[in-house]
Parts: sequence; C-alpha cells; structure tokens
Amino acid sequence: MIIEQTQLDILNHQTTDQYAEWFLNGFRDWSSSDDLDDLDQAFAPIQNVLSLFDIPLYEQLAEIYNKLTQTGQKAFTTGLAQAISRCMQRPEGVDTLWQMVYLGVSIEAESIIDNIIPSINKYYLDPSESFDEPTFDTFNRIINVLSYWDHPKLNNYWLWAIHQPSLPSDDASPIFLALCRSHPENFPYYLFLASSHFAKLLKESYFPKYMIREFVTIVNWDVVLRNIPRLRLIDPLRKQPDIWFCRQLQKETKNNENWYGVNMILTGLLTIIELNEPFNIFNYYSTIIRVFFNFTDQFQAVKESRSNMEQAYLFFFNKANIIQKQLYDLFGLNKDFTPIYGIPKLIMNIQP
Amino acid sequence: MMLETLEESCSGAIVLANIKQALANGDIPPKDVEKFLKACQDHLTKQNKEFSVNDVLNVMEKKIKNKEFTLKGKKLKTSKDISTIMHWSFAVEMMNPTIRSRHTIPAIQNKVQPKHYQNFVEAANESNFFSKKVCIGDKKRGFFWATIRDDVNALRTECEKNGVNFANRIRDILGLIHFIPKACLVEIQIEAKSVKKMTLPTFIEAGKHLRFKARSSSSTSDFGQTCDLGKTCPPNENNDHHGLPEAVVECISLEQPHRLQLKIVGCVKTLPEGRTNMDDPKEQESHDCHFLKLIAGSYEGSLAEAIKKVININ
Repeated sequence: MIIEQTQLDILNHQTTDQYAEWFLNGFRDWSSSDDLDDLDQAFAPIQNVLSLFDIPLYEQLAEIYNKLTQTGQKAFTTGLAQAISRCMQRPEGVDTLWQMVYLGVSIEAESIIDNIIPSINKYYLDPSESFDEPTFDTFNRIINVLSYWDHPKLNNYWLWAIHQPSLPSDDASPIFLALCRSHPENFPYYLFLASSHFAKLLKESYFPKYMIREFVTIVNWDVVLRNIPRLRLIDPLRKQPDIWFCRQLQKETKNNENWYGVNMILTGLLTIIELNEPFNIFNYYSTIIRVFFNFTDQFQAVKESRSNMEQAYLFFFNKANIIQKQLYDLFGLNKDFTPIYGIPKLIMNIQP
Repeated sequence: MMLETLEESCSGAIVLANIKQALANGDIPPKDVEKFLKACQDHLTKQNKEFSVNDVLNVMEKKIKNKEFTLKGKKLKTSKDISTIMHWSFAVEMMNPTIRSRHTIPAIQNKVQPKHYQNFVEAANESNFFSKKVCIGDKKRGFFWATIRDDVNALRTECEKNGVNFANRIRDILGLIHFIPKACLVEIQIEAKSVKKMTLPTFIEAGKHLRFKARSSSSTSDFGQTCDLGKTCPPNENNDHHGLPEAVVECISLEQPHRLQLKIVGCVKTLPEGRTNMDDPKEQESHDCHFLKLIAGSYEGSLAEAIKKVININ
C-alpha cells in the first residue's frame, strides 16, 4: 500500500473526535453508498489509497494504522473506541459496528473493549430486549472475533457472559475456548459455568466435535491430565455431567499432533491418560501417579518432576497394593471386581 | 484530458493499453467504452480541480459500483464449471453465522490457522453453509472474476506434487497482485449451469487493478487470459507470461440452492513479482513499466490519441 507522507501527516494530526466521525461516516459510505461524492469523502485523505474490492476494508485500515506515529495511533484507537460506542445509535449501526470491531481486534486497540461491552449487553444479552436477524449476525461476528483476543478485561467479561441464560448458546463455545486460551488449567470450571448452554448444544449433532477439536490445540495433555479430577465425572449421586467432554476428548486426541502418543482411556469411573511412544517410561508412570494424586492426598510426597521420577517410581511400586486398595475403597468396589481397565492392571505389572 | 493524464505514468498507460487493445479486438462496443470514460471524466471535471493519474484510476474503480457500466464485454458461454478465488474474510462473511460459530471458524484472517481449514471444509458440506442473503461476488459491483475449475484443480495437483505453495502459485497465475503474505484464500467451485451471465473482462471491470491484461489479438480463446506474475519477473524478454483463462460473471444469488464446492487454497507466503516491499513507489513504478512493456509491446505513439481515433472523448 503506497501512501504519501502528506496524507500520513494529516492523519497523524487528526483529533480523537475527528477520528470518531471519520470512522462512523467512512464505514457507512464505504459499505453502502452508491453516491460517488460520498465515496470521495469517505476516509479522506486516504480514500484513493484504499481499494473498494477484493481486500477487506478493516485490513487496509489496520495497515494504515501501522504507519502512523505513536500520537496518531493513540488518536486513531481512541477515536475508533468512541465511534464504536456511538455506532448503534445510528441507522446503519448494525452494518458497520462489526467492521469497526474487526479493525479494533486487528490492531489490538484495548480502548475498544470498554466501549463494545455495553453494546453487547444492551443489544444482545439484555433478556428484556429481542433482537432481529441482522443484529444477531452482527453480534455473533463480534463475539467470534473478540473471542480470539486474549485480554484480561475480555476474559473477565467472558466469565460473566458465559453463564448468562440470555447468551445465544452457540456463542458459549467460542467464549469457553477464549477462557481456556487464557487460563487453560481452569477448563473444568469454565465447563461448569457453560453447562446449561452445553446441555442444550449436546442435542445438536455437530456438538461438541469442533469445540473439542479446537480445545486440544490450545490446552495440552499435561494440563488436561492435572485437571481431570476437577471435572464432574464422579459425584455422590453417581452422575457424570462432564463425561461427554472426556468422550469427545478421547476421540479428538487420536488425530491431534499435540497429543501424539497420548491415549485416553475412559473406564466409566475414571479417566486415565496413558502415554505411549515416544514418551519414556518415567513419563508413562508419572502420568499414572498424577492421576492418583488427584484422588488422594496420600501421595503428595511424590513430586511430579522428571528429575526425581526414579524416587517416585520406587515409591509407587512399594505402595502399589495400598494404592489399589485405596482405589477400590474410593470407588466402593469389592475385591472380586474385575480391575478397572488401566490403573490396577498397570500397578500389578510394574517391575522395579 | 483524462486520457492524457493517464499517459503520464506507466500505471495509467497500462489502462490505456488495455482500452486500446479491447477496442482493437472488438471485445467491447465502443459506445460502452465511451459512456464509461465520459462518466469518469464528468466526475473528475465536476470536482473542479487538477487531477492525477491516481485520481483517474480511483474514479474508474468507484464508477464500477454502478452496474450499468460492467459486464459489457463479449458474452461468453461455457459448459465447463468455473472457480473463483476469494479472501478468507469474504468467504467467512458469506457464511451462516450459526454455522460459523458451531465450527469455530475465525472471522478475521489474522486468527486463521491451518487447523481451521478442516473445520471450514466440513462446514461447507452443511446445506445451510451460506447465509441466504448473500451472493457469490461483490454485490456492489455485481460480478466476480472466474477461471476454469479444471485448470485450478490441475494446478493444485501439480503444486502438491512438487511441494509448491498453492496459494502463492494461484495468486501469481491469476495475476492477483493484491494478495500479499498472510492473505488466506478460498476457492469456490461453481457449476456451469449456475452461471446466468458471463462476459469477457475488460479494463472497466479491472478498475485500478494494474495487472489486468486485455486479450491479445492472436488469442484463439473467447475467454480473457490472466498474466502470470510468476513469469513476468524478473524482467526479461520472455513473452510467455500467459496465465489461465478468465471471465467476469454476474453475481449468483444464494437464495436459491446451487451446487457449490468450497476448497481451501491456503495462505500466501511471498510478495508477488519478486518484490521486496509493496510500499515503495519507485519499485511499484518500475514493475508497472515492465508490465506495460509486456502488454503494449513496442508501441511508440500516444495511446490516448489512438483511443480517441475510435471513440469520441475529449
């Protein structure tokens, strides 16, 4: 994109208010006006630098932003935030708001976050307001792009939004994934927060395949393993509200390179992650040990790091019978019960 | 005046060379060329100020928002299925929002990763993949660019076989100079029977796109032919810079179902034409001048005057 210094100078000296109008009128005329005079004025003085077709406008403006001075960038982002807060009051608001948010996310303009959240709440999540299809489309796009931006303010907002009954359930997946990107170890909690939406989505054939496919690329096996016991897989009522999550995880991990060599074994009562080649034996047993940790405090003395795995291994071997008994007690199994596939069998097979 | 202004730089002269060639070939009726150029000139005159080559090119591009000027080239017929290549963001904009959410597809391209391709392709198999209000092509200008599907398929296979980045190659062979690194592209394959109107592209549809090349007089095909950016640079005497057949097609509304197939092209990794950057006016001018030489050959007279001999414009 070739832009003259004189054009940049004008942009670098625009005030925040000027930028706000520049965005509001520019996006309006660029998208909808057939009047060439309007087009001549839209995004002046760079209207001739921008292409009407083939390249999204927000991307072209993001490129312009990168060429501005620090002061120019500050006015640009603050003006964009102002335009976003005023946009929905204008007739063309629904058509232009999402484009402004795309631009804001592309250049990571933090200042837009405080201004877009009230619009989401007012026009999308307010249970007393109904919205039409274009409004749904706009805010669905906005949630989509914002969910890929890992920012503390947004993450705080997602924590609230994900369990709002008025949130369209389809948006729960991108928000869940956004939260997982930020704090992967808390995924069981996020799953809990979104449970009413996910319960609805589970009636749909596509769910949860795509969400879990994305999940396994952003949360690695180690994190999942450490946090599996926080899932609601066993509770006093013998219900397993999160078992669907593990089942899909089991399917998706087989095809994911981040999880190469990792098998999940679902026993019905217990989820084990088993590491195969190319992981070495210490990792293999450390994994099993970690699963035990999560069920009892008995083994807290054993550290999880690889450096003292030998010690852990011996500890594990010596305590094998106790562990097995505890597991049986824990799950209320009698001694005649066929060992749960996985753990007890492995314990018996350990050789020092 | 407008035509003389275009003659001031290689970028403007590229447009003139294409006008002259289209008229010489009879690719478009002279009255339609005249009408378009007069509309552009009137707009520039109304502004009551001096105008530059860029001003003219921009008015030409903006004028094609008015559908009365486009699709005036020779009508084309084909029994072959066609393909169009588009930017990821535009393809995702066409999607039904619910499908987009459900398949966790990012709406903006700088968040796209190869893992999303599979989701996209699977989403495309859903019967309600497209939002019903959309059409293939830009609604504003009322058309889209297309090439022959089988040629794209063959190129894809060849690239896979030779380990060549398909996105780079398709960008080059179709002359899509505006797709620079990080641009992720999608192909839509369309059955021939879905096409209502298809014409030979001319300088009018090209707007300010500076790698459009009018069909050569020796061409035996009714279709236009792209200029392969992979063959135009480095500058040499090689005249074999032909790419693939091209046409412009009237927008296809998706209110009625059509059998379409979507394929991922991938993301462009390199700049076109062996460039070092796209922001340097000197480098741009040098490439434009080289391209002008390729399409206008050794023509030494005034291109503006040559055009004025055929159409009535000041």
